[in-house]
Amino acid sequence: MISTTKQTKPSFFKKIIKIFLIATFWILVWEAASRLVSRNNDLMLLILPSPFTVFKKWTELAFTAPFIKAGLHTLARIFTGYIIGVVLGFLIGIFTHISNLAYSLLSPILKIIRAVPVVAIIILMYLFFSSSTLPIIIVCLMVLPLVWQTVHDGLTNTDKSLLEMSKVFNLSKTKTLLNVKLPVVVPNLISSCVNALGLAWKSGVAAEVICLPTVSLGTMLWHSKGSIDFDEVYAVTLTVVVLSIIIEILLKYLCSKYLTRNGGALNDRT
Amino acid sequence: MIELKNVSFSYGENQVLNNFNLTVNGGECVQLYGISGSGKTTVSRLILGLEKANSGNIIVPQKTSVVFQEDRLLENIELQKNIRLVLSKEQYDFADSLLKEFGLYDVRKKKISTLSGGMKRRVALVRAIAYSGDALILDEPFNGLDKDNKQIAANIIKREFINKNKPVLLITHIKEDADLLDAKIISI
Repeated sequence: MISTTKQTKPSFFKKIIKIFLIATFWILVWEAASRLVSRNNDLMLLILPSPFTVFKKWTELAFTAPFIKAGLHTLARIFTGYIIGVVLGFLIGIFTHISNLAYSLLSPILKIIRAVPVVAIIILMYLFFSSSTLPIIIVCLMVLPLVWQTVHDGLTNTDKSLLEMSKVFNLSKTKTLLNVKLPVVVPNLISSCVNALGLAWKSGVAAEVICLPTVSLGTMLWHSKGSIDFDEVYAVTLTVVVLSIIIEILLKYLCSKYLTRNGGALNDRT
Repeated sequence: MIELKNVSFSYGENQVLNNFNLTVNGGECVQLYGISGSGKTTVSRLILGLEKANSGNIIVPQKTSVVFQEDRLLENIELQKNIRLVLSKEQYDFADSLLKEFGLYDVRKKKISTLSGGMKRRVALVRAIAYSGDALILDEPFNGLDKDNKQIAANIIKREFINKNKPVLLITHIKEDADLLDAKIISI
């Protein structure tokens, strides 16, 4: 007898239930931790407020004009830096693949940028850029090496048998790059871009906290900490996390649509 | 004409060819016959310029069509685009007529990844024939094809290469495949 097992994807409804249950679990853990630390000392509630206090604060803040303006400015900076980083990383990846000299010259710099702590780069770059431009530069510098490495490695490690086919059939370098090499790079590049997005948010907001542009979520975060308003610190952080998650989900959705159309699959663990 | 004169080749310490000679004249099909590991595919790689001989002379036409042992197709690209990629625009109509002969025209817009093994093999054959090289190298070209499709492929290869006075080198250990192309057998 032949037995078959049918594997089906969990339904959208089941996914939502799962996410809801996981979120509830961690909110309960947070609530328990908040109650535990403030049991003998009410002052501790300032440092670890309950999730409900934070949510209340967030609802007070979320619909005020300064908060929305700050959120939009931060979003614009991170988005700009991210796009510039992805585009430059992609182009430099192609360039270093084509030219050994370019690879020898640029790869140490890009590897150093990746290894140096982001705070050190922010402080150094602050000497050269204005506070509103710096977060864009920092996001770009965090995203660029990641995308560059993926593109360069992908192009360099293209299936040798396909390259031989290109050579035998006299394909031009441009045709080989566009039709043989790049399609192999795209799925990894997309995973890399999704990973880089998380990094972009972290580094972008960190840069804002350090260089304090006039309007930004990072600046709000800094001022809230200064005025010991930890409810607001948590509320702003919550906003950053929610924005980051929404944009990541959106990017993953668009990428998986693209990959499904082109016969690939997005690594869902990115 | 394809000609190898006193060609020697080794992969490191492993001597694969030692003063090997081979001549395939225009209008002739030669089957290179030998057991696995005897160096048949190495000969084709030397002819195609994918390996360099340690010594000896290799004379081959500048433009050579090939069906590799593996299909070597771009999986996420449409069948027709896979073929057109290696062609000039003037060759598109010829390629489409070959697709019709091979029974692939109706699936020309499908991606390679969605095709069966036999269909992929036929696409590789169409690509090589449509490329219209001055010589043809076939490395196990009929793998995965049924009897009818083998016959169709053999007829087209004869028409487009052998009858046009172009040399064809067939690398296979299957005698029936060589018979389809009336190949002269040379052992390696």
